[in-house]
Amino acid sequence: MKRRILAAAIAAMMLAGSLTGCGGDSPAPAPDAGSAAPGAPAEEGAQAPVKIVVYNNSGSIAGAGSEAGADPAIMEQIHQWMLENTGYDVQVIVPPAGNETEKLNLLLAGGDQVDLFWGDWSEYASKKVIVPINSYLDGKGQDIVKAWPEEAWKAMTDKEGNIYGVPRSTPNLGNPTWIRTDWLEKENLEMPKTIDELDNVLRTFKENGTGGEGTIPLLADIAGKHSSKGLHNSFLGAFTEYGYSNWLDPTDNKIKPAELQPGFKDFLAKMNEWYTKGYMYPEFASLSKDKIREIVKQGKVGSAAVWYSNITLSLYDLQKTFPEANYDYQHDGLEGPSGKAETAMPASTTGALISAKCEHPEAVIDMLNFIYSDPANHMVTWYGPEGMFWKWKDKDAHIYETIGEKTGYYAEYAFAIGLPMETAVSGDNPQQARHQEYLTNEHTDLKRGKIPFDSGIVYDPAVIKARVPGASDISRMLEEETINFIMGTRPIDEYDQFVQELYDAGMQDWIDAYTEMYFEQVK
Amino acid sequence: MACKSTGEKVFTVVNITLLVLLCVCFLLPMFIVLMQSFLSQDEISRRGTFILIPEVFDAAAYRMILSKGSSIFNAYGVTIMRVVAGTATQLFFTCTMAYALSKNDLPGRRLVIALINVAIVFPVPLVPLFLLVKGVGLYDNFWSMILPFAINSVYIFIMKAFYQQLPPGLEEAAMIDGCNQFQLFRRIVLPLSLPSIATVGMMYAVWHWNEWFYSSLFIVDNAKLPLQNIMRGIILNASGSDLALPLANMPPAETVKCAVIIVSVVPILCIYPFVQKYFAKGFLVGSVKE
Amino acid sequence: MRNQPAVLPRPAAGKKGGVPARRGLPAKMWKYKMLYLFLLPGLLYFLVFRYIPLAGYMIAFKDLAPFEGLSAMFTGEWVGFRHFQEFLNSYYFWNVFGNTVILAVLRLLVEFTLPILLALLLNEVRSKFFKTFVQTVSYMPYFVSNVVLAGLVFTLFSTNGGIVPAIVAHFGGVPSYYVTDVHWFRQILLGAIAWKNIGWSSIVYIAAMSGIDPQLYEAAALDGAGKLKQITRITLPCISFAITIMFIMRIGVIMNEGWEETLLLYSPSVYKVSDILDTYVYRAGLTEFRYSYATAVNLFKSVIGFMLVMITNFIANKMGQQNMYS
Repeated sequence: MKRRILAAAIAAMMLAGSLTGCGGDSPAPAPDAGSAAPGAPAEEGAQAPVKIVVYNNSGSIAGAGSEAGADPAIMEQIHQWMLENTGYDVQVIVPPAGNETEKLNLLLAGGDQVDLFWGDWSEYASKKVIVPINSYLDGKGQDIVKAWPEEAWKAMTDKEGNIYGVPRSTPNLGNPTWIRTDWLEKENLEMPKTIDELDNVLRTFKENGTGGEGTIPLLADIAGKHSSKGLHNSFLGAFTEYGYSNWLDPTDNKIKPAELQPGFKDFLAKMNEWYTKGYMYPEFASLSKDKIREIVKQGKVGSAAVWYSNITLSLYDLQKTFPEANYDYQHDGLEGPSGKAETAMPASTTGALISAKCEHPEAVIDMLNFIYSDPANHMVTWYGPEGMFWKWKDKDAHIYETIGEKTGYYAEYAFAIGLPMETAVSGDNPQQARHQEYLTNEHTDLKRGKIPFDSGIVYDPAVIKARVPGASDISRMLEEETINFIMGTRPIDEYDQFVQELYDAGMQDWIDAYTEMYFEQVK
Repeated sequence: MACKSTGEKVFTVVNITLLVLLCVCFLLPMFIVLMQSFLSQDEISRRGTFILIPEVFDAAAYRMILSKGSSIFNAYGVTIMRVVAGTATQLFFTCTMAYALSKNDLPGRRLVIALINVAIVFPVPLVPLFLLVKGVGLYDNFWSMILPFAINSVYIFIMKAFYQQLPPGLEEAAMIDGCNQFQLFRRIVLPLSLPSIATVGMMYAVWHWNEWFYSSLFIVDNAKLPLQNIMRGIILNASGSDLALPLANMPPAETVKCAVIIVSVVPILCIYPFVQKYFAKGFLVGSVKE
Repeated sequence: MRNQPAVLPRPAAGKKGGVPARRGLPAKMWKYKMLYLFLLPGLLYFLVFRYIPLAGYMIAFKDLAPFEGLSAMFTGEWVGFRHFQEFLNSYYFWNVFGNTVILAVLRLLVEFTLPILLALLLNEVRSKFFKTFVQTVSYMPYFVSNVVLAGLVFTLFSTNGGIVPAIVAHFGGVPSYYVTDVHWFRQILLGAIAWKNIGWSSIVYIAAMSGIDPQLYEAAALDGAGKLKQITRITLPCISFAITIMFIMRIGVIMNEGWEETLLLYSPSVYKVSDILDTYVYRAGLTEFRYSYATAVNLFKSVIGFMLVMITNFIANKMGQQNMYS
């Protein structure tokens, strides 16, 4: 024991000299070195295949059982399949559940080989930890480029035109107001078109107790998924011109946050009204995804202003207990005095990034392109080898069916995860039917709502850190006071005071910094 | 004794009542957790509101957890090994250092104590610790969960205080008989200090049982993950992801969480009462100051 | 007996410890040479795993991201006390600092006095079975992790079927969601922490009390001392050094421990009473990647914790009580 400690101490002192030398432990066994696949774009000469290490924190690895790790045999099978088809030795590092970002930071800090990972490019680019991929996309990335719309790419591009990663999301609408259609029928009401009509629906649900004891007319959340706020994304657009988005104030030509829009106060007043009248579920500020779905499945939720998947993925279970239950929303878009109520989520700056230390970025893009080039390839990376847990039902229409229960593979290789590939295939699983339908046809129906004013503009965190010292305080103030106004803990007429407090906390710095960044990018 | 004053009787009654109430407070939440671990989705949907005792005891969550078979039992094995090896290591480091520090005229003593104090107050930042662990070659190694945490400074002081309680005459007598320091420690001091070793050892053991954060960062190989990490993963994945197709008939997330708690807490509860009798022997031999 | 080596006069080795005679020092060190071997493993541990990483606090004086490597720690741009200034000037500084202090004091009160009380009560129980039973039950909650604890609190207080609102309604009150209510949050948080910890913390005191010679109590009873007097004159003094040690220890960790419960239970509507240094910094790090800033605040906290330990130690010393150095 003592000898080991001495050795460790000496090694630690040598640490300073061995900064970047430590190659990481590769988690999966490496294949035989000389197995260059036939027909694969191999390197010149009989060298060992290029090794690509992917830290898959894209969110694709999930589902019950994934915590134990995938079956090594299946992983090896997919690994081989990749090697044969692309010529690359692709290894996957599976993040620890719950600590994905911490682990990633540690690996990067330690100098491990991590060629591809997911993150917010604006954070990593300024520190020169990732590289632009324009040239590689032009070279071998045609299918990737085709898959994602222009808007999505714009969000991954800096003001000089450097594209820093493959997008992970595209502008989408995920916050329609779902309403129990069977309840509407029961009460002889139409699907509401306006906020006032919705108000009437809520009142009816409440007064008549349509769902029985414990009826919840409106289930909403405020700390939502994918950084959407249920209430804001579902309703703010009805009261303000730009919805839940930063906006350009014409009076002084400056960019300001959504909360400073004329009309925001009216939004707060309405939400407060719904809260005090008991339409809104009182625990809205501390709801988790599990809790939301649990409550929905209890069958007492009349309408919901939450991220759509909470409804679409709960329908199947809900209908097992209540066969007549169903949810739908106003497909033309709910409206209010200022227009469409729903605000879209802009394309995000999170995507698949390539490390600056990567020795073969062109190989990474080539490998990704392979997955994007054919939905069948995506299916293998996502659902396992063909014939094991899935097979084609209709190959041309890309409809698949599942075989038994999938255990032992949890999409560790699914690097092309995202709306384009998710909608390129469809399954026949009834549990996912409504969800699939929404994804394919309704998620990007942007005319139903409002698109954020500065969608596509990237705000550099380094600039914010340097120019806006009060950023954390402003975040906290916005979160805290919005909820206080809605709950009535703070009276609405203190709104102007609240605005003044924002300025005391440094809002002017925020405005100046954001305005400058905005005008640099808008040409 | 037959003659108890009224005052004493009242006191005893009040005391017992209070303690019983406390017991209820402590037990109730655990009871709720236990009950909830048997709730099925059907029943939640049907009955809605607060359910204390399920009508149907559905062990689906337990089946799901335990059917993982190898991974759970493997993780149990890792945790048990970690608790045993970890506690032994920590006791070794702690007791030896505390013993040395208990000698009042050891030169340099105060310096070392000051060093320990500083270490208490300045927790180790994560990134440097990680780099260090990698640098000494402990990454993805079983010992990375033990060595970086070999001593909890608080317990050094507890052991030190204990050793200082021992009658000095004991050691002098042994020295005269020709014992050297090691023999003295092994034959005389250790047996006497068993109660406090048991106390401190138990605290270390429980820490090892519950710790998951550092293991999630230092360990890569799933086969080396301790129980809590697997449990945590089960909980996080029980909610399911929007991207993964849910398993058919999966028990509700809350039920799974509760089952996980029960599975990871019950073993400790079973062992502890046995260890407890060491404490009853007297944590502080000779604690009464003459 | 060992032979004393020849004593030669040598300059003092510069070690603190109040060892006066220069001639005696090397002799003493030789006499205790075995003890140094005992000291060695622990010392090495501290130097390697506790001291070397402290160099990482340099990050507080630079502007680094968490994924920047070792070299950046040394070559990164030095920004001096900028982060500290930012922190001290921020809008919520006093609120956050105040909450941290208040919560620390309340926690100290709860987590320190209640276990002693419980131990005292248990000590009076005659029936061994009942005593063991209660003790076992009391430390069961300790094994419940913080995540589960938070889940339990939410379940118990939930307006959608929680037992607490049900009870309130039963007695005619109008229940609300207390967890998001500034008037109730601190009590709920402390209650949860107390529930989890007092059983476990009382172990030390119960064990200490069981070592007290029962004859002392008999003698006191014969002298006519009542229960209260027995407790204050016998029990407490006998375990006083355990109490003092535990107290000093608690002070030492008070600035660093126990923010997890807050993080899991709080929500924006109760930030005003619950946002503490750690949670504030956690959000800053999470959403704004302010890694160096977070490290600076942690350093700030640790310095305060250190001062607290020194002060408490000094006071304990003055009072003639056990302190860390004696």
